[in-house]
Amino acid sequence: MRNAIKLCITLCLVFLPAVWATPDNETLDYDTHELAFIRSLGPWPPVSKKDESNRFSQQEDAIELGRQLFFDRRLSLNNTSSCADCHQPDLAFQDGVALNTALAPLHRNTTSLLNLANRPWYGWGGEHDSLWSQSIRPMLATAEMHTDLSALQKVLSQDSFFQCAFQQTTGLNLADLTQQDLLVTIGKLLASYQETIQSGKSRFDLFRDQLVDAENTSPSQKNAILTAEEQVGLKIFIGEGRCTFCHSGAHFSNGEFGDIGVSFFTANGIDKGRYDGIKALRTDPYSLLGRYNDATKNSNDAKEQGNTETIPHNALRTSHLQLLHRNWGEFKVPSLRNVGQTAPYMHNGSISTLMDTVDFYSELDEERLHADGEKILRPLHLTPIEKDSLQAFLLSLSGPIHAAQEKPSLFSQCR
Amino acid sequence: MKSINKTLKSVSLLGTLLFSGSFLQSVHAEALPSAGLMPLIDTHIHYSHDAVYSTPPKKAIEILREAGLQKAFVSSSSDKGTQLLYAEAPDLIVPVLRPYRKRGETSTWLHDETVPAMLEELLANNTYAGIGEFHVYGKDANLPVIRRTVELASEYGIFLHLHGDSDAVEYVFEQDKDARILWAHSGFDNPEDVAVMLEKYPNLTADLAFRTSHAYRGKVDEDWRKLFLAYPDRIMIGTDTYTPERWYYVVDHAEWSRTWLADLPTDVAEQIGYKNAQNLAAWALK
Amino acid sequence: MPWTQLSRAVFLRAVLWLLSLVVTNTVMACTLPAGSDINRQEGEFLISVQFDKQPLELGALHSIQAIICYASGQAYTGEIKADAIMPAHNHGMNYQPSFTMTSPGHYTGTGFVFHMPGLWRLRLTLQSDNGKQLIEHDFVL
Repeated sequence: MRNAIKLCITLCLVFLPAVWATPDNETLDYDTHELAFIRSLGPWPPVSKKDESNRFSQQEDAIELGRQLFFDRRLSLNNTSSCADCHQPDLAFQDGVALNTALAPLHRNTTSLLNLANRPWYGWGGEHDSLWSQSIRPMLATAEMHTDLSALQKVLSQDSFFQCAFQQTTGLNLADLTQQDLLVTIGKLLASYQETIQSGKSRFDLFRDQLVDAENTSPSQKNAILTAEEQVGLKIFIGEGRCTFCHSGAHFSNGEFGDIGVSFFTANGIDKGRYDGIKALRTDPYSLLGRYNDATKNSNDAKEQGNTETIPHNALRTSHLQLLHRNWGEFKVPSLRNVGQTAPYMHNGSISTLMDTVDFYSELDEERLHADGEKILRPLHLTPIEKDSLQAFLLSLSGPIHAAQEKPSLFSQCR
Repeated sequence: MKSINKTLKSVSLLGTLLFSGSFLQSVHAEALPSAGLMPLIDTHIHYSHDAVYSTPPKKAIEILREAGLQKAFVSSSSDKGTQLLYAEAPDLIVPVLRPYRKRGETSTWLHDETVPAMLEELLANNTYAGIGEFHVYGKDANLPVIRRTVELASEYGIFLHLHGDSDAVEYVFEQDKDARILWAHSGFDNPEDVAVMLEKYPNLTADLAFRTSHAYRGKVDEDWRKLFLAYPDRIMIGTDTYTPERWYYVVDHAEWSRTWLADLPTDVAEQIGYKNAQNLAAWALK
Repeated sequence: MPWTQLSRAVFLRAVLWLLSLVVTNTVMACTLPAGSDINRQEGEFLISVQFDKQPLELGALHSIQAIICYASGQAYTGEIKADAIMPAHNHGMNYQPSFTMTSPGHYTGTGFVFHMPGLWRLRLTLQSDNGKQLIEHDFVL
């Protein structure tokens, strides 16, 4: 069967130059199983939804103040860096290096901030269950921003514009806040801005929409938005490659964690990944189980979910987590949206290029994986043409990047 | 032939004991908790060629001691890893002979007819408490390589550390009803099915490596509790260091194990935690 | 007692009796709704299970409503243990579901996250005086 598919792919590719030579791309044939998978990879963009744990979510002035904070180096010790210094807007909001060493050597790759709204877990180990608590993390990390909260509170309180904008947005007086409340509020403002960092429709999304429309109307075999090469890559992605086992849904990620055999040794020891992530979550005062979850008061929603205890409905996922042996060395399944712009890859940035990533899966070291039963991961042993096709498909997942722009008029009365 | 092998083994073992200190004494010694922690014996450790490279023997032993282990059953692909650790800490390491020359032979070894000769040579020259962990499922347990492995375990009076389904376990017992099997991962079976097998085969013991369903947040699951209380002398713990990185899990795993063991009656916890493994090692290394 | 008073008393008693019958039956009788995702008898139990939505969403948190009766019509009020596995891969969820009884025989379970496409097996375990009853339901995501 596998050989037959390979032969079919090879035969298709032999005739592809003729297809590419014409201005119109033909839609390859997709069976119902493939169509179902393609449909499941959208629609994009997702419906915008307020983060109930963050009362500032989708609030216009909070987004603007969060944007200003995102670029503000005063958040770090000695004004050394802002969020934007590592999550650079021109680099799909990541830094383009394997491991950032600007302030101190890190052992995890800086992730892109695209499409982070309403995801279940944040960080390579899923140490956080909200975007705002994840935004606090680098401020507390000694190897990153290492924020001196006392100094920050002082300097921001002395900034009359900021103090006014903060008061207008949050209804809070900066100087009166406890350091913890200040930290959480800044985290929530930063999250409000980051929720706006999104990628728009990619060529794949347009192709998917076209295919779904064709299913509903009369099918059109001409003018496919993806090239035949990209479509062959798509077929590998949803078929033999079994990439959708983990890279599923509109985000191209199931939001969970996996061990794909990438080493998790660090320069000084070991990165326990999800195992430590779950342990951290269980003790994190800023998790959704803690008192800073703004959804806590929605007890009616909680009851509808059958939650008769005091756990807010948006914390049920956190409260039901299990700590498993397999979590040790698991890392988050990253979204593949705009993956062509987010190199290097893997939790430790150990793979430099997208083609190297394809190679990694093609020659996967099964012995590093513990499987009992049918293997989820297995080496794909792709031909060079298949590798090119898979890469071409992955590159078709890039859409235009949007983020909230400066809106100084919102705080005009503070000037 | 059997008696010659046994004699050779005895001589070899005697030599080992003379040079490596009182191994048997330490096997039988009453475990004393260090720093208030219950001692544990981890029955499922591998130290394969890549682990040797990334975590040299001294560091590996340091990790085992940090975990508060009284003993560690170690099998490696290749066996060299086990010998390196045994040389480093004979009081700590219980050597088990893995029939793999390198990692990646889990599904090929049982078709490799050169394996028995390799096992014979290593058994003749070194001390082992068992053969394994090896992988075999269903009727493959009747293949010649497996049959010879079962025979060798019988000749040397050592156990088989078998990773496979209940069918494979049954086929091995058909070959040798007196075999002693340590069933890796308890066959990934549910506690009721494990109980059926333990009831049927008095020489069967089971390790809990890579299993989590028996405990959740420090509490032992009721079905597993029934199994533990019904067969307190047949269950053991293990980590399974199947990649080099997982060596560093031994400490976390020991901590996790102590948490749920504390939810059992003390005598049962001690049996599962270390006494059963102690007895198995003492039997094999008699 | 005048006839009108007597008839009124009899009438009121009859109403009260009927009401008590209705109330008693409402509390005691355990019946399954039609058209649930799972609706069947397993051993001594009648079980109805309804997921919070269909189709199920990959990687999302799901809850289920379960109604469990004894075949005799009595409501089951014991513990429910639940998990879900992918038999082909021999792995389960990263979550431990929990159940809360909302009224006799009626349960809400949450903590279900099916994170991979393929065949899943939902497993509910009930405990009665007659022993343990495992209810398994396969579905494809």
